[in-house]
Amino acid sequence: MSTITHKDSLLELLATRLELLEIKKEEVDTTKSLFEQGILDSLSFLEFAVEIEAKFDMELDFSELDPTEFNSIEKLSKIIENGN
Amino acid sequence: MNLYSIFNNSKQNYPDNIALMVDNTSYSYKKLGEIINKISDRLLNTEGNQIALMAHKSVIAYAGLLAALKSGKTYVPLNPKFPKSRNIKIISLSESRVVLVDNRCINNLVELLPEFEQSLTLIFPETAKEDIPEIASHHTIISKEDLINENNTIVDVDKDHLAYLLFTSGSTGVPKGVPISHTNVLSYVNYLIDRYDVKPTDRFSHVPDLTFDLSVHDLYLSFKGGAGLYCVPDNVVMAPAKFINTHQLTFWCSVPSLIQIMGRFKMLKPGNFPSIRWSVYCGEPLPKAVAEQWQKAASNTEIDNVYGPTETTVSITHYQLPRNEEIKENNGVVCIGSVFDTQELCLVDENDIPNEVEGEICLSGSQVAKGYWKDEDTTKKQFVKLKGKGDKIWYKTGDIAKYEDGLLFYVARKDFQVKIRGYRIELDEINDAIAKITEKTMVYTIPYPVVNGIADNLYTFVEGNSEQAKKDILLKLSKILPNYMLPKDILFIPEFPLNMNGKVDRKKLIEKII
Repeated sequence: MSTITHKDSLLELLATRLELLEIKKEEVDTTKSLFEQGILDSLSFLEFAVEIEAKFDMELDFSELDPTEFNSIEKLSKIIENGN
Repeated sequence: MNLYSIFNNSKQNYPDNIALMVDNTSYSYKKLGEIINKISDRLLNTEGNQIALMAHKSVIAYAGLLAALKSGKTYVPLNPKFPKSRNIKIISLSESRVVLVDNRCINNLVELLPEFEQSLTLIFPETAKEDIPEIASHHTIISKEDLINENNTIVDVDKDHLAYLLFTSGSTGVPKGVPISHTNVLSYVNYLIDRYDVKPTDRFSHVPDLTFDLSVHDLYLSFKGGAGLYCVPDNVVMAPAKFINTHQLTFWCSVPSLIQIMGRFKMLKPGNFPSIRWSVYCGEPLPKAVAEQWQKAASNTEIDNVYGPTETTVSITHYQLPRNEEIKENNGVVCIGSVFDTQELCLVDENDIPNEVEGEICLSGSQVAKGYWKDEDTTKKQFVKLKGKGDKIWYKTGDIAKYEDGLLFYVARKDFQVKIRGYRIELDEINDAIAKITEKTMVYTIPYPVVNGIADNLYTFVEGNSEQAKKDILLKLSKILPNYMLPKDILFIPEFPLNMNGKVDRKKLIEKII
C-alpha cells in the first residue's frame, strides 16, 4: 500500500466528523495538526485511534507515543506504514 | 495573612527552581514572580474585588490567579471550553468588573462583551495594543505595554477573605457560587504537605481545568513545597504517558476515569511510570480494578483515594491504598477512608439526627466554606447546626456514606438514591455484578425516570462490545441480584460521554435512553 492510499483511507475515517464540522475533505491540510485545525480534540483523537487500529489491523501503543507527535494525516500514515 | 505567601516563601528559598512548565516553556519561581508582580501592579489599582480569568491553563492564568491573591483580590476562573452563556453568567453572578485575558482567549472574550453594558476593565498581559481587536469604548483596556512596573506589595487580608470563587451546577440550572477563603486553602495545604512530604525536587502533574476545584490540589501543594507544576497540555491530556515520563513527574492527581482511558489505550504497562511516588484520585468512585492497574504501572507510588465536595476545599477524607494487603472495597469501589485529622465529619439520617452507621455526610472545620455566594436560602438549607453538636456549623453534602470496620464507604448522591418498588437500590452493586459477567471495566447504571426518589426502571451502560447476548447477561444477573435490581436494558456504547471535568456525563447517557 502506498502512503497516498493511507491518507485517503484516513480522510475516509474522518468523513463523518468532517461532515458535522462542515469541512470538505479537500480543505484538510494533511501536513498540519488535526487538533489545530479544530477537527479533533484529545478525546475524539482516541476514538479516531480506535478506528485506525480496526481499519489497519494494528495496535497503537500510547505508552511511548504522544498524540502531539502524530496529529497530522501525514504523520499518521507514516506510522501506519511502519506498523504494517 | 495571605495564601500567596506560600509562593513567595518558595520564591525566596528556591528562586531558580522551576515553578511552572506550561506550553513548552518553564518558568522559575523568580521569573514567574516577575510576571505576577507586573500584573498585580495593575490589579492593585482596579476597582472591585473579583477578578475573572478568561484563559486556558496558560502562564497568564497561573500568574493571574497568583497576582489576584497577592493583591488581596478574589479570582474567578472562566473556561474557554464552556458555552458562551455560562461564562457570561459567571461574570455576572460573581460581579466581576475586571477580566484578565490570555492571548488564545481574546476572541472568547470579545464575543461576551456585547452582554455587558456596565464598564469592565480588560487586562491583556501578553497582548500588544495593536493586536487587540476593537472593543466598545466604555470598557477600559490594559495591554502588554501598560504592564511596566513590578509591584512587590503583598496585601494583608482577613482570614475569611475569599481566595477564589468557583461555580458548580445548581439544581435549578443557575450555577451556584462556592466561595473559598485563604484560610480554607491554607488548612488544606498545611495538612497535606506533611502527609505527602513534598520536596523542592518534586514535579506535579496539573490535569484539571481551573474551573474544577481539583486543580487547587497540585497548584498550592507544589508552590508550598518549592516544587514544579507541570501543566498537561489539552492535546495530550487523555494520553499523558509520554508526558509523565518525559518530565519524570513524581506526583499525579486526576479523576479515575482518566486512568480507565489510559488502561484501554495500553498506557498502563507494568512499571511504565516508575517516577511517580504519590497518586491522588478524586471526584468519582475509584474502582478497585483501576487502582490495582495503576499500582502496577506506577510501581513506586503510594495512592490516596480522596473524597470532598468543592464546598470543603478539594477533599476532606482519604484512604491510603495498601500494597501488600487487601484494598478495602465495597462492590468493587475503593473506600474513602476517614476524615482529615484537622477536620470533622458525621453522618445524619433523614431527620438530621447523627448516627454511626449510615447517612448523609456532614462536614465541619477550617476547610469548610461559610456558605454559598449571595444565596442565603441555599446556604441556610445546606449549612446547619446539628442536634447534640453545639453551635458548630455543618455543611450537609447531599452524599450518602456508611461505616464499615471504622472506614467510610461512599454509597450514592442523596438525590440519586432511589427506590424501586419500595426497595432501596445500590447502583454500584449492579455495576459490579455486570462488570464481572461481561468482563468489562466501565459499567454505569442509571435509574430512569426518577420522580421524588422513586425510579421506574434501571438502565445499565457498558463500554465496549459484548460477545454475550443481552438476555444471557440478564439471566446470569438474575442469579446474583434480586429481581428489582435487574436493569430494564443493557446498552453497549463505544465510549462513555464525559463532562467538562472528565467525569461520566449522566445527562448524555439519559439522552441515549430516550
